[in-house]
Amino acid sequence: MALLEIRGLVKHYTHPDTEVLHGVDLTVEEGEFVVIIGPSGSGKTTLIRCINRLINATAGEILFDGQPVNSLRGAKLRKLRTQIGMIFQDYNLIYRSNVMANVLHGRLGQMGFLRSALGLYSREELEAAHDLLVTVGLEEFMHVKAQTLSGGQMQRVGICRAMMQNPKLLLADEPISSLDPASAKVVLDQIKSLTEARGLTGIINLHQVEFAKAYASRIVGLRLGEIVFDGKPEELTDEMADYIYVR
Amino acid sequence: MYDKQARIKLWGNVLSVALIVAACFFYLRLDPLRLLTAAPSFISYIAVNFFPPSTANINVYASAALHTVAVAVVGTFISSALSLIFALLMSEAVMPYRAVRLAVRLFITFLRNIPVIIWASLLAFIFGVGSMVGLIALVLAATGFLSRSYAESLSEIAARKLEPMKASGAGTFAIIRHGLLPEFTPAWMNWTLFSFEVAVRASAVLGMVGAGGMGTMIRAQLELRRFNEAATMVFMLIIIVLVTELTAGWVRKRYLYEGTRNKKTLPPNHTGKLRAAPLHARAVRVLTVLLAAVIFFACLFYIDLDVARFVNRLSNAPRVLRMLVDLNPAMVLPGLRQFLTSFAMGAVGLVFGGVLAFVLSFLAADNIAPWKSFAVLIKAFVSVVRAVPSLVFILMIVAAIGLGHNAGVVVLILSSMGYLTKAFIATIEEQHAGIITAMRATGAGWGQIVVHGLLPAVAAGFLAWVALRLETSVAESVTLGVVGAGGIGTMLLRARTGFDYSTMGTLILIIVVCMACLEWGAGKVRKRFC
Repeated sequence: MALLEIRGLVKHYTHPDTEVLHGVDLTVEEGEFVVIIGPSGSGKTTLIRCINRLINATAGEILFDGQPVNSLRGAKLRKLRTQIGMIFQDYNLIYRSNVMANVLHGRLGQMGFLRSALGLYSREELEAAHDLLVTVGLEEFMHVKAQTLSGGQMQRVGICRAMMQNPKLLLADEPISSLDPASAKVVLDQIKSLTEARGLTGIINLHQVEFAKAYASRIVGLRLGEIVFDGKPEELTDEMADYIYVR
Repeated sequence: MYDKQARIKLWGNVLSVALIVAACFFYLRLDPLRLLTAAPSFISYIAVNFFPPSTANINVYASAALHTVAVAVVGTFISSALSLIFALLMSEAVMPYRAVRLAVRLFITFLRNIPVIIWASLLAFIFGVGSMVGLIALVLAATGFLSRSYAESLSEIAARKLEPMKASGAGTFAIIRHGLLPEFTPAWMNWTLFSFEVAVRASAVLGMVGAGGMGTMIRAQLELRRFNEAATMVFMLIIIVLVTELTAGWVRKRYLYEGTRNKKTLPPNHTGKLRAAPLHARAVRVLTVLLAAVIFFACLFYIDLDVARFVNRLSNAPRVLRMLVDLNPAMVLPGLRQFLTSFAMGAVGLVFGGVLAFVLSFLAADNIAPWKSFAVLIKAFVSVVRAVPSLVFILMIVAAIGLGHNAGVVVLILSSMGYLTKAFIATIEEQHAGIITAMRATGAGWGQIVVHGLLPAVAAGFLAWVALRLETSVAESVTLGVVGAGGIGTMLLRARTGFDYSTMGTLILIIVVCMACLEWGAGKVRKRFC
C-alpha cells in the first residue's frame, strides 16, 4: 500500500476567485524522495499544504497510510499531523527561544497537556534533540537565541524540529528559497541524508531544476495546477523543464 | 516639493488647518492676547509664590508619594494580567469565534474611551472616596489601553510563525505557551512599562476627584493657596515620574536589546546534563517572577485597600447603575455641543503645542541641534513639563490666571508640546546621519538642512504622531473639564454635584461614542500617512 495517495485534488480560493489545483492525482510510495518543481503560482505550496491540512482542499481525496485525511478534525487531525514533519521556506523559528527549545517544539504535539504546559521534556527527548543538533553541526549553538542565527543555520534548526517528531513523511515547502547557494546545498544535503538514514519518505517543493535533478529519486512537474511531468530525474529533458516553467 | 500640484495641496491643507483653528478660537471665545501673556505671567506667578518649597511636612508627602507609586504598581500588574486574557480573546490565532472577538473588542473600546479621571469620579460617586476606587479606575483605564496594544502586537506576530507547531500537531494551548507568548514578550514588556509610566501620572491625580493619595493633598494645598506646600509635592511628583521613566528605560535596554545580542555558544564536545534551557537562564526567570511577586504584594499591603467599605457599598451599585442608564434624551444636544467645546480646546492645544514642538525639536535633536547646551536645556525643560500631569498644571494655572477656556487651552498647549517634542526629537534622531552629513558637505546651513533634508524625511512621521496625539489631547481636554476648565467634563461635574444621574449617564455615553469615533477617524488619518 502506498504511503500517500492523492486523487482528484481540487483547491478553489474565494479571495481572489481562482482555482489553483485542477484535480491532481499523485501516489507516493514509502522511501521515495519526491521533488515537486514548478513556477510560483503553479500550486506547489497549496498541494503540499493540503497533505497536512494547513490548507483544506475543496474536493478530492487524500489517503495517508490508508487513512482519509480530509474529514479529520480536532484530536484526530493533530494525531495525523504528528506523523508528518514539515520544513518551511522562512524557517518560522520562535526567535526569542533558544535553539534547543525550537528543536524540542517538534515534540509538542505528542506530549500530554501538563507536560507541554510546563515544558517538561523527557531525558530521551533532550538526547534526541541534542543528537540531531550534532548531526547538523549546531551543537554548540544549543542555548543561543534563534534570532541570532544565520538563515542557513535557522533552516538546519527547522530540519531538526521536523525530525524531532519522528515522522513517517517529511514535507518541505521551498526550504532553500531564502538561502545563498552554499547554505542551500548544506540544507538539501542534510535533508536528504537524514531522510535516507531514517528511511523516511520526503516530498520537497523546489524552484531550481538543477537541485531537483541532483537530489530527487522522482520528479513531479506542476504547471498551472496540473501535473505535466512525473518520472525519474534522468527522464526530465531540458525541453520538458522549459515547458514546466513557461508562462 | 517642486511638483506644483503637491504644493497647492500642501498649502490647501495648511490653510484648512488654520481655518479650523480660527473657527475654534471664535467658538471658544479665546483671547489671543491673554494666551500670549499667560506664559510670562504664569512663570512669574510660580517664581514668586511657589518658591521656596516648604520642607516642613515632607514625611507626610513622602508617604503619599510612595502610596501613589504603589497604586500604580498594583494597578499595572492587575491590568497587565487582565489585558493579556482580553488580548488573547481578541486574537484570531487563539479565538476562532468571530462573535466573541467582536464582543471583547467592543467592551475594550468602551473601557478605553472613558478617561481615567471620569472613571474615578464616576466610581467615587457610586462607592464613595477611597483607595479602592482609585485602583479600580486605574485598572479599568489601563486595561482598555493595554488590551488593545497587546492585541495589535499579538496580531503582528505572523500566523506563519505558529505554523510549524500547528503542523506538528500541537494543541492551541501549547502553541500559545511555546510560540505566541515567547514572541510576544518584547512587545508585552514595552507596552506594560509604557502603561506604568502613564499609571504613575494618573495615580498622582486620581486623588483630585476623591480617590486618595497625592492628588488629594496637591489639590487641597493649591485651593488653600498654600503654594509652598503644593510646590514640594509637585517637585516630588516630577522626580517620581522622571525616576520611573529612567527605570523603565533601563529595564527596556537591559532585557530587550541586550538579550538579543547574546550569542554565547557552548564549547565543542562539552559534557554535562542536557537541558532545554541553561540553568542560569532558568534561575534568572524564577528570580524575576519571585521579585515581581514580592514587589506586587509589598505594594498591595502598603496601599492598604479599604476592601470592607467597598464591599459594603457594592449593594448600592445596581441601584445607581439603573439610574445612570435611564438616559436623558434632552441632554443629548447640549452634551454634544459641550463635547464640541472640549474637542475644540483639544484641537487648538494640539495645533499650537505641535507648532512649538516642531520648532523645539529641530533645536534639540542631537543630530541637528545648532547649540548643544541649548539643546540640553530644551530636553530638560520638556522632561519636566511632561512629568507634570495636566490636572496639576491646570490647578496651578487657575491660581495664576483664573478658570476658563483660556486656562484649559494653555495647559493643553503645554502638554501637547511636551509629548510631541519628545516624539519629534526621536523621529529626527532616527534619521540616517548620511542625509545631514551629505548636505553639510555641500555647505548647506542649518535652515537649509532642516527644510530640504530633514523635513521631507520626517513629515509623515510627525503627522502620524499628531494624529495619535489628537485622541489624547481631546481626552485630556475632557478631563480638565472635570476640575472646571469647561466643556463636557464641566457639565459632568455639575451633573455629579446635583446628583443628576440620568444626565451623568447620558454624558458618559456621549463621551464614549464621540471618543470612539475620534479614535476611528485618527486611525484612518494615521493609516494614510504611514
